[in-house]
Amino acid sequence: MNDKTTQSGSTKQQLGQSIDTDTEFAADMSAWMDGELTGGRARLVAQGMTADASRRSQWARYHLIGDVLRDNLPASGIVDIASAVRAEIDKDESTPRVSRMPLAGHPRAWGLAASLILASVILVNSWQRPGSSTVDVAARPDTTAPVAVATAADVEPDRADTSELDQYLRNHTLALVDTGEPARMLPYLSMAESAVEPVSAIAP
Amino acid sequence: MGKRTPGAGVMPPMGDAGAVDQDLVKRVQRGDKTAFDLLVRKYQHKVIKLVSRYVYDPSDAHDVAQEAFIKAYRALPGFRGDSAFYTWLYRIAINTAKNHVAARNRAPVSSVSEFGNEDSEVDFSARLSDIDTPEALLLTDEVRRTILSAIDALPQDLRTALILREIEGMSYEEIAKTMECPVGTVRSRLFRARDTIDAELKKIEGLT
Repeated sequence: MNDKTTQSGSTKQQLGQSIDTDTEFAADMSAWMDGELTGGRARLVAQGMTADASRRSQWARYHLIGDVLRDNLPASGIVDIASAVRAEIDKDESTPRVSRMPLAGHPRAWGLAASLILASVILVNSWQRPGSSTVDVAARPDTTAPVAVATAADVEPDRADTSELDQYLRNHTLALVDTGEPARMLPYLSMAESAVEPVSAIAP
Repeated sequence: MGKRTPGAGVMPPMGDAGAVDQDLVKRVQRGDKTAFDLLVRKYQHKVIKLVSRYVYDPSDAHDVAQEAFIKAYRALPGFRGDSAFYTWLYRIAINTAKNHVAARNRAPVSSVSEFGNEDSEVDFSARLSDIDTPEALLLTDEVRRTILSAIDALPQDLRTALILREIEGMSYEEIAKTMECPVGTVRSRLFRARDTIDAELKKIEGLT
């Protein structure tokens, strides 16, 4: 495990403040790998290893000695997979980690979530029909508007909401069709359309 | 300061080396990728050997071992240290190997086509040359011979300390009692033994 990477001057200087020579560092590393070095010196060794590739190679060779003595070498021989693993990890982190998001890459899950939200919006809207809004408005102490006017005024935004909702559903369905996804929102769209009918019926 | 339990494959080689693993794991969890590199270098041979019990093709075994390490790296943020790192890694490696074998058994057509059509033959030979097993075997032989002859050439006290540590898994304190010397002397003997062998290993061409 001959390492060609040279240690940077600043790192050497930094480490030199606490661990004087390479030999002393190696002695500490030998004790550390056996779990016999703790505290500040152990931390320095760990930092030194992180900063210096040649020391990581030395660590690997020290472990190789143990592997040979314990007959831990695979029959296929010595292969260093560390660099391949590292390359894969680096590649992994250079690509956006969208997969970490709970629903990412699951269009069906997104569709289902959107449908549930939509269903609850429709349900809430149907609860807040003229009767209840009349009561709400009338119950407000600072309301000066007559009850009948309040009901009509309440219906108008409701109708506006549903038309926005219809538009949203149509856009969403078209977007799904464009991306090649089956138009799963269509049943909900027709359900929403039928749900808005009574609202139009009450409006003057 | 746990001794190795003979035949207990899940046990890490040393009792207290687990503390070092824990330290390295914490470093990885804080974003230090080189700490994971140290864990890979420490366990790669052991993991490849373990995986080879299930996956007989050497190149596949290396791929599976590599995959196991990558899976471990990705899962490390969730590793809380309830078990030793190697025990955890061992499970990942075994599962990865078993999944590989199951996937291979589910795809008999592809294994036939590996030898059956021209494209696959090219691919297969390319994989062999990638791994270059004969060279790896020669290197392994040379490394093994170098290490064993260097140990033979060590002064008796250094050799004994190294064997008690690496094969018997004794702690420094236990070695000190056995060899009737201070713990500091054990520490120094072990380092001198490793350093002497390492000097020989450095001379081997191709040992990366």
